[in-house]
Amino acid sequence: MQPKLEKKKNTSNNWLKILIPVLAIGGLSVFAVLGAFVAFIITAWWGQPIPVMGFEQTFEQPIHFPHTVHASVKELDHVSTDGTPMTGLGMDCTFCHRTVTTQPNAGVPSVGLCTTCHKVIGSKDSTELTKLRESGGLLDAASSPINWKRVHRLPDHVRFVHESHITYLMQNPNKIKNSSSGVTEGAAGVCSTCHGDVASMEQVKQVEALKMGQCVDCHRDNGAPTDCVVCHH
Amino acid sequence: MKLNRREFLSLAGKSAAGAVIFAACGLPEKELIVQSPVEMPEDLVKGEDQWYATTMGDFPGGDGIIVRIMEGRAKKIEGNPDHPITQGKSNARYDSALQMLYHPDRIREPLSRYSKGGNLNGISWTRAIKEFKDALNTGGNMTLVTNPLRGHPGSIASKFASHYGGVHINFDPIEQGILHKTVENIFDQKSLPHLDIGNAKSIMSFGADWLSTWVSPVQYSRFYGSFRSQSDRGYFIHVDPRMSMTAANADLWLPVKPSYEGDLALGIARIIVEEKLTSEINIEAYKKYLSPGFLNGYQLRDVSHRTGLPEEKIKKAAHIISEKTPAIVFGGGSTEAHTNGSFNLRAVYGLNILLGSVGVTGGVLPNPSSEIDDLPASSSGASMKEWEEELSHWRAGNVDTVIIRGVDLAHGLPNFLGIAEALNNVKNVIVFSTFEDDTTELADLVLPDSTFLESWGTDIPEPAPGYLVLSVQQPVVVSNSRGFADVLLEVSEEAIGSTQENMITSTITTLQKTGTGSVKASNSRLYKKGIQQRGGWWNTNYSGNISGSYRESSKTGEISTFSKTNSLGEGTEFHLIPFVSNSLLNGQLAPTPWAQQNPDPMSTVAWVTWAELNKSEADELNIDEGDILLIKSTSGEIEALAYPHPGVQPGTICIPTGQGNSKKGRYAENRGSNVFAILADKKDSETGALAWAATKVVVQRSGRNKKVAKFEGTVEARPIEPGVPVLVLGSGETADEAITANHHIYQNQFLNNSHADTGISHKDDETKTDH
Repeated sequence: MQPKLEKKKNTSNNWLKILIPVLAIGGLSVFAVLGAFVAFIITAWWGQPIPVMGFEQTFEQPIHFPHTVHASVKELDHVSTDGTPMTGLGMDCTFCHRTVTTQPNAGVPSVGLCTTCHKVIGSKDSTELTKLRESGGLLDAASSPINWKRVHRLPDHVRFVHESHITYLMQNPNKIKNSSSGVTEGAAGVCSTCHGDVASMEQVKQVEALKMGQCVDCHRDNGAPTDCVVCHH
Repeated sequence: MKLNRREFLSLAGKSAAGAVIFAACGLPEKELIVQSPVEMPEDLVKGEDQWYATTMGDFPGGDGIIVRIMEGRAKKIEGNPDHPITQGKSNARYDSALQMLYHPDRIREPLSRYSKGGNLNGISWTRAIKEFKDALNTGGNMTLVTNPLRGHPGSIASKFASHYGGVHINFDPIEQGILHKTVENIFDQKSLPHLDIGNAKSIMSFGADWLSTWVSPVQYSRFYGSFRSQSDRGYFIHVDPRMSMTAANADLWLPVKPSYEGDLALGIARIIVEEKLTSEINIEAYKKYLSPGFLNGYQLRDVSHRTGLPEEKIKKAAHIISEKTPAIVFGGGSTEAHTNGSFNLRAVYGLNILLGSVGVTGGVLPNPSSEIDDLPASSSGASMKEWEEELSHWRAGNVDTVIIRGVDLAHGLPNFLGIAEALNNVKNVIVFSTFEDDTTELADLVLPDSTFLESWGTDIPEPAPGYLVLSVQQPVVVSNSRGFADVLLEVSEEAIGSTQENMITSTITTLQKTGTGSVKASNSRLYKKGIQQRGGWWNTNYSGNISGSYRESSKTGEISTFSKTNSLGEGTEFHLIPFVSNSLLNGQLAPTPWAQQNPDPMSTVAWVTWAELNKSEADELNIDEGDILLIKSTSGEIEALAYPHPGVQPGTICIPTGQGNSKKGRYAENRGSNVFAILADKKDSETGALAWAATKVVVQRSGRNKKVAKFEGTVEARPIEPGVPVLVLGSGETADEAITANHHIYQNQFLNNSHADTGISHKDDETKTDH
């Protein structure tokens, strides 16, 4: 006649056996999530956020436009049909982004600008060029604008004007800071200050955090106004 | 880890909620897109406007304009401050014309009808050009019908017609042919002379609504401003059976009986000659032109009786224009639109010789005849006689191809001509049009015409401001539409020229070689740019010659004939005088809502066709405002809303042009009535021009009533300042009489401090304007 207490103990033990691991795992996972969240916030606050859930700094564009081919002067990966290596065209940034020296926004060019060359240049078999030519209405398809995905975007409460910055830095090239790749000459140098070495990018990505701290630092060092209302109005 | 169902479900729910929250908290798609537009306007800069200089092609006057373009789209038309004609001024029609460009009902593609009476089907431009060429290459007779064109479009049209051995005939529903012939006969001028209104001391105009629609209203309005800015403000007399906007601006309005304008002018001449109100030299020059004793038929008493004007007024007019010199006397519009129209205009313009105004500052000045590459500097519609002859050829099937452009022929020609039947007997009817209208209904091939904002062209303004001007028209928006001139050039396979732009460029090079004019540049490319920037070329030193003597052929020897109007013999007859609508012109701007809602300057009516008749007469006939009237002539019948008002000569009924289109877009279709349709078959006895003001009509109430869409009367008359009473006039009262009559009522009101009666006397109901 041994008491049946053991069985009871067993069941309560079983219950605890499940609960503690569950709690542990739950707690750890919560910590992990919180930790990830905090890490995300910290990185996003101080610089570029972790590239998850839409916070990537680069993404696929509707047409894979390679700045390397157009803007760079370096040797390219692909070769021409007769085997000779190709180098980039070395086009100036302002050939396409025409309004950067006169307007607040730099502007992407119209499809018409691209097709001025690409109606004759470029292979007929290239998928990307076919997409471009269709957009431009050259291939009997109805012309349609291209909706590029915006890579560099400042919040709505900031008003950034390209024109004054370009003018200043063109006149004072020694003030170009934070150039991510050592490119400092001409328009390319000026643009690289904030946009990095776009000429080397197969796909445009944002390399500078473009936080207010960066802006204010540069303004302070160059004697530009640091009043709030200069950018927030 | 073991999950039971409940925990699983709750975890699933929470993670789903989390996913939704994270996904929904994002930026809207459009914030993350940067769009490349397809077309590349040369000035695609956000937020900055560009202004391009061009010309109002296909509108009378050849006005130079500037157009505001933002991101490749035309936004506003203003006068070109640099252009000699407009000098920055504009009129309401500039704003409405802009709406033609982006109108949703524009014809977008060529349309073809397989058989007469069939449906129009869309075809490609390649096929349309081929059909056009095939029609011409059959070798049959061809007629090209256009609006009166000058400059390159006129030159190309004429050359095209002669290349195919065809005829180029102009059409203008409100004919001005007599005006052109008169100035040619009297002043030996191939194009209309420059009326130096700005420097004149007095003006007397007959019939021409020159501040509103006649010939070159923007230019004339500008001159009018200078006229009135003089120290003694100038004296302006206007003669017109109807109080038009021009008459309302006059210091003295003479409501002459229709067709007796010539009598009035000669009566005034007689007074001036008899009382020697001008110099002997002038009287001698004038008398040279008349047969001896001619003026005896124009005694003041008789003239007063015939014209319906009091003798003192006629004398007053004669004294004013002979004392305040330089004086200009001119006329047009309804004055020339009677069977004695030529006689009327000759009498009117002849007064300038009597007053010594020819060739002097402040008078009638010459314009140079165009010597630019043989471009036509003057153009007017062919006379009705010529049109009847042409249509008889069509009816007989003698003409294989008729090409129509810039005119709504079926709308503008009166019913008695039977245009539909005539066109039915023409094998190929090719119509260039921006909208489907009454004429495209009869077409076999319809080609979409471009608007003046999309095509090249030139115009030589008429009248020019005393020196040679060439207005250049350039496309201000990127467009796929083809201009009619370029289509003609393509169809004729470059036999005349390659493109209109090239032909204009070569003319510009010719101008550059003269070394004169408003543009100077080092090479031809920059020269052309300079011309485009200024909107044209002009040479202020290049003026013309004018003589003050008449040609033999224009001697006025006959006694004036009463205007022969048709008579219907029964009912209350009225004399029908159509007038050109200030907003719609001849129907050109009827498709645009802005023109439709633009109120008429005198009556403030918009959107409808109304008939102005004398207020007392309307009362006798029991016609109220808004009564739908049936207006019937020998040619047909139309309906119009009655608008009685005192500013119309009793016995006349005045109806605006422009409405009555069966199509022409959603704003114009089936709206109002077309007064052109019921014009009677009356022609000027000398030139055969249509006497469009010589129709007599019978007017009858239909019994229906509709509220007239007008602006006046929507606000009750009330004092502008407290204590300043509104003056209300009874019928036939002058302001002085009304003041005296109302004085006592106001006295009572103020003394008795009564607010029940606001002091406005409701003596006569007709002065109440609220309904």
